[in-house]
Amino acid sequence: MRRRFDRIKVRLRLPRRAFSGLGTKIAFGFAVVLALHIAVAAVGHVGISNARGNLELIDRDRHVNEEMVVIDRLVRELQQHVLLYMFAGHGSLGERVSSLHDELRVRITTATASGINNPDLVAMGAVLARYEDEFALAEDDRTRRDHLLNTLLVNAGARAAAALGALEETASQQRDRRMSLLASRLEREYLNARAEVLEYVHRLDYASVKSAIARLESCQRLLGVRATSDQPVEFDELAALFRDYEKLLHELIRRTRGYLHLGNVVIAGETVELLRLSNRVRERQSEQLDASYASILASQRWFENLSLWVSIVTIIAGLTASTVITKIVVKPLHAIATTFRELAAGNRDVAIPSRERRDEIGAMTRAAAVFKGKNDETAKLLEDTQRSNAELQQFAYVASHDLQEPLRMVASYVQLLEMRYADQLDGAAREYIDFAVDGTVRMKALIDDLLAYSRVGRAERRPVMIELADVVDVACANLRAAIEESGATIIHEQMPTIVADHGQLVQVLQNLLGNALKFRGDVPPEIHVGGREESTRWVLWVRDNGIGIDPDHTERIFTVFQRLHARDEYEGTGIGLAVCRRVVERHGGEVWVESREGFGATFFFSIAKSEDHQATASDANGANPTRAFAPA
Amino acid sequence: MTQPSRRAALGGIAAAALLPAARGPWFHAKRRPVLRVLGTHVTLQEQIRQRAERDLGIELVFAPGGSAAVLQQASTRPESFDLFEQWSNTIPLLWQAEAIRAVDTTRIERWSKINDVSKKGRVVPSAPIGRGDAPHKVLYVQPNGTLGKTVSSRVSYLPYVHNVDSFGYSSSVVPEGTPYGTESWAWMLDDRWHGRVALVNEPTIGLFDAALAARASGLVEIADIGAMTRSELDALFDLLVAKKRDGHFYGAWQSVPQSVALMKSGEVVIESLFSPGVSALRSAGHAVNYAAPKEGYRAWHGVMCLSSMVSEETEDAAYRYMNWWLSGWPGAVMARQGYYMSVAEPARRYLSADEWDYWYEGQVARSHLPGVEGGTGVSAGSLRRGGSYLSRFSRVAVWNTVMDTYEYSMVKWYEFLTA
Repeated sequence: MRRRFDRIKVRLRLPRRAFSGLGTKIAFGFAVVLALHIAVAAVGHVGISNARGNLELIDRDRHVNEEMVVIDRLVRELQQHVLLYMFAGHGSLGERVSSLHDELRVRITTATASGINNPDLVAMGAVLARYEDEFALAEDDRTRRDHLLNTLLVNAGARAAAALGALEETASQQRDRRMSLLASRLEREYLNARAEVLEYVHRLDYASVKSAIARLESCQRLLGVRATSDQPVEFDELAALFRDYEKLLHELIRRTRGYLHLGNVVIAGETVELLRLSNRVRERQSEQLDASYASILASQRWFENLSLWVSIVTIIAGLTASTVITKIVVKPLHAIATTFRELAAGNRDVAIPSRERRDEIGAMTRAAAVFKGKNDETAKLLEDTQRSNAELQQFAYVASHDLQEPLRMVASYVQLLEMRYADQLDGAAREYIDFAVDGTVRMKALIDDLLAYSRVGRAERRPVMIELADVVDVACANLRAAIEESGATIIHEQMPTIVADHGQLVQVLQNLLGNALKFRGDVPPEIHVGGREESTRWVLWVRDNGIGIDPDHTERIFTVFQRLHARDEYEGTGIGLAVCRRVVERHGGEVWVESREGFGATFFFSIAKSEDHQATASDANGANPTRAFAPA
Repeated sequence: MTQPSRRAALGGIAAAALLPAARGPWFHAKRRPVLRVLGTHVTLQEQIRQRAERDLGIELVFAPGGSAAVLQQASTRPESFDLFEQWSNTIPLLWQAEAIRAVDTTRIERWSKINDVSKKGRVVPSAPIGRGDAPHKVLYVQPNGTLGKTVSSRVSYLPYVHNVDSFGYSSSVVPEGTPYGTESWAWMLDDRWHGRVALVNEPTIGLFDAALAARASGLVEIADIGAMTRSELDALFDLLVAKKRDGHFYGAWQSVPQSVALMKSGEVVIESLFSPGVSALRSAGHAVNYAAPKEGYRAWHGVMCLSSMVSEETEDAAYRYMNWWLSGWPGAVMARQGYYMSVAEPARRYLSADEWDYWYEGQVARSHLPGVEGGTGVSAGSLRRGGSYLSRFSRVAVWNTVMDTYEYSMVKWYEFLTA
């Protein structure tokens, strides 16, 4: 149980570790905001798609509604034409009925195929199919009826009338009064029958045609009774004609009833059914339209609300993310930046925020703390060094200044002793005195040099625009005697104007030129002074053809009172290069030498440019930050 | 027309040996005869066709269709069928058209068992003969070739299926009445059911339902409901058209399924209804009563006719088929749809006692009774309103009829339909 609990705890801890990194936190926050934005977009897209789908449904339903109105009109027109056809029997009306059938069939089929699941539409198709079949039957009856009425009955009637006429003729020729009476009676019955047939046709009164049939049967009965034993053949023929006429009459009745029943009952019933179904389809489509509209509105409201809430949540999430990022990233970064700025500016009392954090900011704050620590150490070292330097300088100045007087006194009194007791001193005493005086002279020189060295550190640096050529000239002027004595040639390039302390720079060049003259070889010195401008500094050099320097000593020679040669080989206290270094370092530069014994030496020193001069130089030099001084 | 007798042509001992009196076995030596039957869905059912083929060894081709279409075909193309089945009101038309020929009653085995509804127009002598085209009026071929009531051995049709119809009403909406007591045709014009009344779209049927309703309501006077005059039709249709325009009628139905759908949906609560419609509604759980109106029923009689163009060989098969219809099994099938047979006793063998007592004796169903397609057609405890066959057929008010004013009634019917 405990192990399971520990495992759970470990599992629970893992996500915190997973989120300890700043990048992970920021990424997670932006992922959440991005997901919400995607959700907003998705909601919008789904809403638009949904609305588009609903609009398509509405369009379809509206189109079907419009189609049903047209179908309604066509059905009524169809029924009107059926009725007209039933009444008039014109073939053109039948053709119009057929074309209306076809148009209705196409429209109903199209509406059914439009994807609307409406059983009434399907039922309309079935009713229309029956309608067509039934009209075909009615058309058959109507056409046959017209043919019976207009042709067959007319022809049969004409034949009967002709036969009657022939009978009357025979009766007249034979002067057969009974036959003549029979013929008259037959004619009367036949004509009444024809009139009753017409009455039936026009008034649809079956009683009329029933009477006509009765008359025709009566005629046949009459013709079946022979008037005389030698009954004329016309009797049988006439009876057959009446029988034929009666048969046609029965078919006329049958056909008339047939098309009347089909047209007025069956087809009319199908029409009523079509209209009823069409009405139901329209009602249902209207209901669907209303439902679709309501659905669109509801859907629109829902999507609006959803979009609004998702947008609100997204905005809140965005603001929260922004706040959280500001709180956990921006402010701490700003604080750290301020800390580093303060530390860089030398403020040692700056607070180090957020050291307890375990992410990158925590690492940065801990680095800042280390930096602060180093800063404090450096500052303390600097203070100590500065204090020590100040004390040293002070000591050097005081010592050199205070030592001057007693030294002068020693030199003076030793010289006085030599003068006062010159005749009492032997050669050894005078030598001793020379040594003492020489020692004081040398000590004075050391003290002077030390004093000069200390002054370099104490003197206020006053950088101004100076002509390097002028500096070289001044240094050469100060070394005229040594130049003339050594037969040296000093060549310098066209020197630019730089910003530096004139006097100190003269001192540097004078020391370097002096060393070049002093440490000459067997040939007259040839000294070149040149330089180049770099983006952040000027680099100057003094190249000679003297005795050169062992590369192992190129660093030591810049130390105070360091000499590579004995005093009796080359004079000097060994402080000249140390002074050069001090001056150059105070000008933000550095000094070094490149040399090999026997091949002369080139002393380099750099003078740092101010920021203005760096920009100016960058603008002037463009893509070439390093530019050698032009030859003089 | 007559055709040479195949028996005469065959001659010989072999032929005679193959010919028992029943004319059955010699067909097996020949190809299976094909019998084409034209009619309606009432009797031309697949289960009947299959059973008849099996029992008779003949091939049956059924051609069911709408009443108008089959009548037109039968009257104009008698060569297209061998037997025609429809209703007695079509007999005059078909006979006059010479589309059918007489049936020889001596070839009908159970002719003597056929009841008096078919032969005399009334089930018992005391029962009234319904107005209009009572079936016996057009049954017998008279010496002069016309059809009439005088008995002869030649008839225009084989009597078989028949029934009485009334109107159906939803007992969950319309308060239940008492058979022959308060139930009345007048309910169909009762303003309480305004907008929820339907008639059958057939003037020879629905017109009489409407006429019975109008007369029972006292709204029109009709002397002879089976032979309405033009003025009576004018008065009746004035009433019906006004009612239609007022919205009293929901409409007119054209098929039994449509009548079932109308009542099942609740759009109609009272309507002309046929017996299969009643069964279908009850099977679907709809509470429907088939009224037993005090004014009496509207009756109809099915007819099976021989085509005038049938061949002798086919005629033999036709007589076998006609006799088979009166042999019992088909009668049981018809009984389960609520129809009666002119010869009922053979059907009794194929019905359970419960079924017989329910369908023919008008008693309460003592158990669940099977339907036509299987399953339960009648729930136990149900009662066929109107009582027994005797009771119901003793109250025929009018037969389905083609009146002399038939043509005029169709014109008026159109006005009613489209009002």
